[in-house]
Amino acid sequence: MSMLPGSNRREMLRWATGLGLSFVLPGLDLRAAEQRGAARPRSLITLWLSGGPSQLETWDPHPTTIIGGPTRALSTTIPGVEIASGFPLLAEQLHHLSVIRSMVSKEGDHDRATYLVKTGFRPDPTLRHPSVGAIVAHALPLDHLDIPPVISLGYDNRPSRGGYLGGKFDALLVREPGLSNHDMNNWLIHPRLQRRLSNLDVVAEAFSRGRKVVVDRTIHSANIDAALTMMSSEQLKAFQLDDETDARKAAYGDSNFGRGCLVARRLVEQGVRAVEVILQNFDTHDRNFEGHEKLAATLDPAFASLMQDLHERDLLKSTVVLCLGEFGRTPKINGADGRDHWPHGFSCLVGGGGLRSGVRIGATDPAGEKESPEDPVPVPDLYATVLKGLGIDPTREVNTSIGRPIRYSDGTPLDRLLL
Amino acid sequence: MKLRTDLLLPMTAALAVIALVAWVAARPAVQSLRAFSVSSEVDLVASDRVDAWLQASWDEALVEPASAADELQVLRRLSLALVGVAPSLEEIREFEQDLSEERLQGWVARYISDSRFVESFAARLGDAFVDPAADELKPHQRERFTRWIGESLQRGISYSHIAREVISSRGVYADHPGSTLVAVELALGDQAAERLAARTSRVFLGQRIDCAQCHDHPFAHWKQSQFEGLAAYFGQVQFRAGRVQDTQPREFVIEDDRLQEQRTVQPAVPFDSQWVPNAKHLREELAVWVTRPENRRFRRAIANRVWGLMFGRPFISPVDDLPDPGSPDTPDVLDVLAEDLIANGDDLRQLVHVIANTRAFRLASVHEGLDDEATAARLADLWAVFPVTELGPQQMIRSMQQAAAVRTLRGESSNAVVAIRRHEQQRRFVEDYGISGADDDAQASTIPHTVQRLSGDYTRRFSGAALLTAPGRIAALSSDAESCLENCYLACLTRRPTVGEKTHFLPQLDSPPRRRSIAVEDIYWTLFNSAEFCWNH
Repeated sequence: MSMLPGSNRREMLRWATGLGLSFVLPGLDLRAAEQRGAARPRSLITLWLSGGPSQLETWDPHPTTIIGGPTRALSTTIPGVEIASGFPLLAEQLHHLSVIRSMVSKEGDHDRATYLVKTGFRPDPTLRHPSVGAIVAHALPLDHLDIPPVISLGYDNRPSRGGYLGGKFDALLVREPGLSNHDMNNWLIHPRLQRRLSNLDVVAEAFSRGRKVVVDRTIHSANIDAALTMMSSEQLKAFQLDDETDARKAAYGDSNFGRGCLVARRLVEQGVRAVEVILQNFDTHDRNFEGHEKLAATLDPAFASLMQDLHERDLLKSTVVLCLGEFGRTPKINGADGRDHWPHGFSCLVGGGGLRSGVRIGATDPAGEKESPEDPVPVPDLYATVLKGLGIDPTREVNTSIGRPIRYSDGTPLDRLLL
Repeated sequence: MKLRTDLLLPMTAALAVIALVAWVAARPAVQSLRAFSVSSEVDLVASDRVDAWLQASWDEALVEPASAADELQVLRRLSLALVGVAPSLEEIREFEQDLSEERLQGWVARYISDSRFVESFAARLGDAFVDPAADELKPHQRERFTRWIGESLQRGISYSHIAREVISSRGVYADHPGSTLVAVELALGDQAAERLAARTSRVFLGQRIDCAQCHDHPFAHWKQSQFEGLAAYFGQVQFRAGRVQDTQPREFVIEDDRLQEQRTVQPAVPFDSQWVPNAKHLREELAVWVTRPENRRFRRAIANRVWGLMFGRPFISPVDDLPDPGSPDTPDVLDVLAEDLIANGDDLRQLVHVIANTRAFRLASVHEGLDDEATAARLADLWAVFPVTELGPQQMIRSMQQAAAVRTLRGESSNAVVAIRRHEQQRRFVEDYGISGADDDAQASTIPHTVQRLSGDYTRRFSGAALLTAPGRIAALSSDAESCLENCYLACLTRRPTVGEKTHFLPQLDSPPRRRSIAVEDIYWTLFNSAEFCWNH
């Protein structure tokens, strides 16, 4: 990133803000915002169920079995596929998605499993892998985007990172999306900004002397440019919900996650490559059923409205939607009426983009005795598939800072899910 | 509104009490610490051995290390590492008047006995023991734990004693703060023994044996059975009526999620079981085994961790997954530091002094090789240049607060109300600044953080040239534009401006007092937003 005082974007910003003319800056990327259908630039929305959702209380219920607990099942718009009864709205939209009930991994610890399921790679002491969102942004660069290409909405203890692709692919964290009192609205530009910025160039130059590579790696200056660009961008409106109807806001639900899903749709419309919306508290070691019932009440309206909205706006052909957490939960119900960590057969929903919908893959043992599900799908295979669905070659190699070329994904795409 | 006379007396009494409490709180804490005077007591031979080891590796790689850093620069590093904030203007003046030959070592001793050492260095060390984000860790509990570690270190209590307390102490945390880790993990419920085994091995052995909880370690030789044997040492500890206590011996049963089975596991250490003594309690046996002088992993782990706290980057990363120690005949840097610790009664003050005295710690962070990616990576690997690392949110907000004040800010030297307000600002800033620092290589410099610095309240408040703030006083009292600029630079960056910077800034300051304070505000804003302020170097 340029450290030079003459950097065009900042110069333009100074000129524009100096005259109070920030509206002349490049605003909406019209091409991205107006294109529809499969021709649109592609994006990924991940609904991240943090803590490890129970497959039995979401997309793989086993009602009336010993392991099933009190959870009931509901038929959906995919013939023969039932999901937990807490998701009546999503059941009506399920034909836009496919369900995988045989995700497997070897990571049963939150940190390690989150790393695996967010990146498609197991933790490696020599290298930090980028999140899949960062890979999508890297593979599909986009001009005219003033806001970062990878965005995380909601509270997240383990945010998505740019890894070896660099800090500029770290997710922008917005904890409370869509709220009118959000910081985004309070970003004021100081009247003496111009003098201050030219001062900053002088100090930056002094610090950069003799440590250029190291200082460039801090992306400090690039961040300032990006922050200034963003602070004055029309695209910030994507974070606000003022021009959404009350009915639509109500449909997504009056929750941080609901607003996050609606903002996610708006961001994708702007051309943001990867948006993650986080719903926490799935780590139900105790009172699993109560916990999941509450979470379903938040997840169901938001997820269902998102699918419907993307479909109605003809954005679904260009947007892959993925819903999962770091692992599932044990078939066995523990003494505290909870379920513990279970990476050996958990579920996810995926669809949109170039992916087939209405497909069911894998099955878990209704008695909860078998160690491995039918037709197991390792996490890397899911991501190889998602990348293909976004038109990205998963075998493409990137040169990392440790001099070792690494593929976007080591998995094998699931042909059954590709159009 | 009319004042009711019948309320006057109680109100006056209440105000008197508040004033009294504030006055008491503002008294300097009684210093009962054994002074650790440098020149006479500290044996710094280990620094020379570290220097020799690094020199040999530079020679072998045909690398010329960076030149020596300016002493003020080194003072900034020491201050950030040990008291968690860049030096105050007051300290810089005092340092520059200190003409003793080994003044930097003198300042190391001074910083270690500073009350801020407890809030900063000890807190960061304590966070490695007990996860500061754990729901079950109450703020007062964390504070008590941190204070216990910090004051123990300041008194020269051996680190192996601290470790033994953390692993094996019993009772109520208020009386036995060492029991905090065990209490917090037990309060979190299920699988406490497994989590305690994981922490113990990560913190005290520098090994992620817990990867073997579900499967054998992917890279090292740890087996699932070794992890389970370690966990069994915590199988008898319980948290009852607010106390950590050990029950009578009983079977430790592991629930294997994968195999959906239960199995009974006997306590067993993962290696060198001949060191295990016969003690009254299992945890005591484990604690003694962990801290045995023969157990090289224990002291290598703390040496690596303290190196990390001083340099911003551990000698070997990740800090809790070290390779197996090599042959004792060819000691590496961690072995040298570990041996020196044993020779000095496991006193971490000694370790800090030795690391601060190494040539590596005093190297500049500039080097002509840093214009090229490959060379930069090589220089960093060989510690041939001081690493540039990001300040944590605590260090950042405290450095802003400090730069806005002329005198050194310490809890005990301000009145209680001011100290509490400052503390509250720190808490809010850290919260707003998000989770940065939670993992080793977290990048705090994200775009929202940048936005916060560019336009947030904190920058505005601490760069404001009010009557009693440093920017205000610098603007009003500096004799001329040049000293005004110099003061701004020293307060924020602990250095003087370069010729180029003077040429740029002096015309802005060459103005009547009212205009000058505006210029000072702009300079403060600029310096707060510079990479140089936000990074250690």
